[in-house]
Amino acid sequence: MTVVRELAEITSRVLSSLGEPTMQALFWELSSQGVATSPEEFDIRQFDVELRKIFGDGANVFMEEIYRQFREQAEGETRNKEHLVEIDNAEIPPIDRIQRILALKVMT
Amino acid sequence: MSATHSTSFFRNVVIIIATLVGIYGLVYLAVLEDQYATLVLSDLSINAAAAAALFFALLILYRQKLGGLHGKTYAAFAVGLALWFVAEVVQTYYEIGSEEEVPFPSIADAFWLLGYVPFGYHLFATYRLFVKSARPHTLFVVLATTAAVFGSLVPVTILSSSLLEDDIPALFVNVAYPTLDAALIVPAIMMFSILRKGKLGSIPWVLLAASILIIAAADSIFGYISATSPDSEIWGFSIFYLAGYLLMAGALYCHNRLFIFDRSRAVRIWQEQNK
Repeated sequence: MTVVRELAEITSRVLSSLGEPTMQALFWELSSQGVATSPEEFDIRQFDVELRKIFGDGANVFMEEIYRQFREQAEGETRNKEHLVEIDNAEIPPIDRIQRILALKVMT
Repeated sequence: MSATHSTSFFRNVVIIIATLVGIYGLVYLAVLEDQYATLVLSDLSINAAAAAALFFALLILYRQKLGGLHGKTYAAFAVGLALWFVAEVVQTYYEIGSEEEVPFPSIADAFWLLGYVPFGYHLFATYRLFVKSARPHTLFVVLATTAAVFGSLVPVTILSSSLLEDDIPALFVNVAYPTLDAALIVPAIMMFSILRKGKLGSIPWVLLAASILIIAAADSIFGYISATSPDSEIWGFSIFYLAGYLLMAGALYCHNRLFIFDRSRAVRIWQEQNK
C-alpha cells in the first residue's frame, strides 16, 4: 500500500467517526472544491485548507486525530523513533507534522 | 458549496424564518383584542413550528441512522424535540381544549423538563469532540456571562416567589427552566465560536445557538414574571417560542442539507456539470 493511500484511509476513518452519511457529504463537498479525494491522488494539504473552510478552528480536531493515527502507524514501521519524537511538537500545526511523517515514510 | 453559495443559502433560511415570524406578529396584532383568538393563534402556531422542527429531526434520523457521533446526537435531538412537541400539544389541550384552569406545574412541564436531558446530550457530546479547539478565554467569557445573567436571575425569582407564595413545585419549575437553559447555552455558544470561521459548519450552529438563547430569554422573563406577579396575564411571549422552534427547524434543515450525503442530488449536479 502506498503512503498516500494509507493517509487517505486514515482520513476516511477519522471523518467517518461523525457517521457514514456525514463523511460522504464532506468528501463530496471537498471534491467539489477541487480536493483530490481518491486514495491514489489524495492531497492532505489541500484537504486541510478546504476542511478549515468548512469547520473553521474545528478542523484541528480532525487533523490532530489524523496525525495521531498516522504517527501510530509510522511508529510500528520505523526504526528511527527519535525522528518521530522530534516531530511531536504541539506548537507545529498538525498538517506540518503529518507532512514530516509523510516525508520520513517516503525516505525510509 | 462555494463561500458565496453558503452565504446566500444561510441568508435565504434566515429570511424565511424572519418572514414567518413577521407574519405571525402581524396576525397576532390584528387579533390582539380577542384574547381567545390570540391564544388559539399562538398555541397552533407554536405547535406547527415544533412539528416542523420534529419533522426535520426525524428526517435526519432516517437518513443519518444511528452510526457515528452525528447519528447518536441527532437521535437524541429528535427525542428531545418529540418530548417538547408532546408538551406543546398537552399545553394546547389545557389552554384551548379543556374548560378547567391551566394547572402549573402540569404534565406539560414534566415533558418540557425531561426534554432537556436529550438536548443536553446532543450539545455536550458534540462539544466534547470539539473541546480541544475551544479557546480558554472564550469559554471563560461565555461561562462568566451566563453565570452572571442566570445566577442573578434565579435568586431574584426565588426571593420574589418566597415573599409571595409557598408553592414549592411551581417555584422549582420556575427556577428549573432558566437553570437548564443556562446549561444548554454554554455548549451551544462554544460550538458556534469554534465553528464560526467555517462557512458550512457554522450555519446550523448559529441558528441553534440563537434558538436556545431566545427560548432561554423567554423562559427566564416568563418565570420571573409568573413568580413575582402570579395573577398577571402574560401576553406576547409566544413569538419568542415560535422563533425559537423555527430557528431549531432551520438548524436541522441546514444540517440535513449540508452534512448528510444525498446521492440523487450529487448525481444530478454531476450530470449538469458534465453535460
